[in-house]
Amino acid sequence: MIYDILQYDFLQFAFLTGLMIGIIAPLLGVFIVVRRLSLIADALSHVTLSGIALSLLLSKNIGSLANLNPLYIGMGFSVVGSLFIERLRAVYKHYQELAIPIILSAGIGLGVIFISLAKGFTTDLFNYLFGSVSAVSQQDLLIIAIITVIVIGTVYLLYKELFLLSFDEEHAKTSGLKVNAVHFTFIILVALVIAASMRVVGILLVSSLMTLPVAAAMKIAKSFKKLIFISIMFAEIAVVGGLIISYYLDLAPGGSIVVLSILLLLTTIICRKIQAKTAWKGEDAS
Amino acid sequence: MTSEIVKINNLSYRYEQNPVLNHLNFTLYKSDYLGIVGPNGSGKSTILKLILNLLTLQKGEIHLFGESIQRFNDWEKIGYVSQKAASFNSGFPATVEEVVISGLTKKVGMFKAFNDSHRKECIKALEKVGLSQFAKRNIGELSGGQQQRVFIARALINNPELLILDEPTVGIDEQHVKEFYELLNELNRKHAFTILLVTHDSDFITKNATRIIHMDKTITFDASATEFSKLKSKEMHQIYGCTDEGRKEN
Repeated sequence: MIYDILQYDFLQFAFLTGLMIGIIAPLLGVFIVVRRLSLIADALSHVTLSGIALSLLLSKNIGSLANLNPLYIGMGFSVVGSLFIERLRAVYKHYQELAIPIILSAGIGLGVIFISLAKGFTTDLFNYLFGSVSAVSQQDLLIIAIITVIVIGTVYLLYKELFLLSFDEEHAKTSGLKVNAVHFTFIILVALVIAASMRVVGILLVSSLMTLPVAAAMKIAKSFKKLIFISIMFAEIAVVGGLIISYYLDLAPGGSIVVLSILLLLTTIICRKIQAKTAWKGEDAS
Repeated sequence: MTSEIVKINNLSYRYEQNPVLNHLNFTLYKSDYLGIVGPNGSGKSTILKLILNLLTLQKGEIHLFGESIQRFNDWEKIGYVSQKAASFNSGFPATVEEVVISGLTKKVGMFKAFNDSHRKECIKALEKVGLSQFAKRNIGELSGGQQQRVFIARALINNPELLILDEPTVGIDEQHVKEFYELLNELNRKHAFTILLVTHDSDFITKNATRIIHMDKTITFDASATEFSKLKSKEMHQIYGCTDEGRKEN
């Protein structure tokens, strides 16, 4: 495997991309999960799907756009979708979760229209839906590297604001924090990470990389910083393991990564249960 | 001259068509320990939300530290412990230190990380509430009373001049409520904190606060706690639906 990675560019691109999204997806996922916004990632990934479908449609029908990287329009749709979610959350103040199914169905609806106009599925679209080891180009790698730097840098600079917003939004407001600006920045980052992750994990499974490692880490972590660290560690195990499995078994990497994440989650839950039982037995014995 | 911390003039507020506050006037002075009591829906929490700028002013005026609330920007001067703090998500994976130090977020400013001096301030705030030994513990592992002290420490970390508390003892057992009020007494008498507390619990607040406002959309009583405790049982019955004796039996 290591020999193959050294030999083939596409494998190097896939692994480097995987390592980067293994950091940024759970890094934002931690804030998404504790703020109970897990489904936002799903809504945005479906909006990204419609952007990808439009890009593929344009590439097919307009000669000058034949080499257009679908990541650009996908990213654009994802960012615009995030803005619409925020707008809808403001409109439905008492039913903010409504914004998610509205944007999710709008994303699927538009996506299906573009796919129909393009006369059905193409291999490219399949790769975007479920991820691909071979589809990551050098240009994708560069875009994802830029997004990684932006995401890590912004989270580092806004860490304490994001923590306060996640832990107690009302307190953040009363302390005079610019809550809307921080939340807006955060949601744009989420949109960028979703667009960045879809090459390897696939649009339909991208939200799992933001939530499953965090769900597993939550069973162990006692502090917020440890939660971030353990989530990233779990995500990297799932991404690297998933890519290796998918390369050897010729599977879509998205599926392998998600299945590995779920196995990690189950293992953590079982270990915690055994630990709790052992502790009770220890107490009873003494 | 005693300085005015909060001054409310002719304040009215409506939720859509329903009036919640009608022509309210009161002033909170430095070192006051004011308890606001009243039945459900009397507008107690609405006043706090207006003072904290969580709701937009509709009619009337609010002055904080001598400045109109529209121009007021020194929010570090106000420490707030909300009703929600008593019912926060106890599964949130954060240590006591992480929660308390987050109170400094605005003061430290954007794009800067917390440093050792901020961590020392955090320990000092925890010492004030008697929880410094719990700094590295997960907040979910603490009892309800201890968690509420953590939120007080978070409010105190900025050395505020005014402490606002909204129903802070909901869901806490009586022993911890007693300890909680002892802590507030100490903060008010020893450290001269001005305290504004909204509560249902007229028994505890009467024994501890120096001044009581009773309200039901408008102020119906505003005098010392001693005067309030002299209210006849009949009036207590009208206000709360039970007498003092009945409340004690319960």
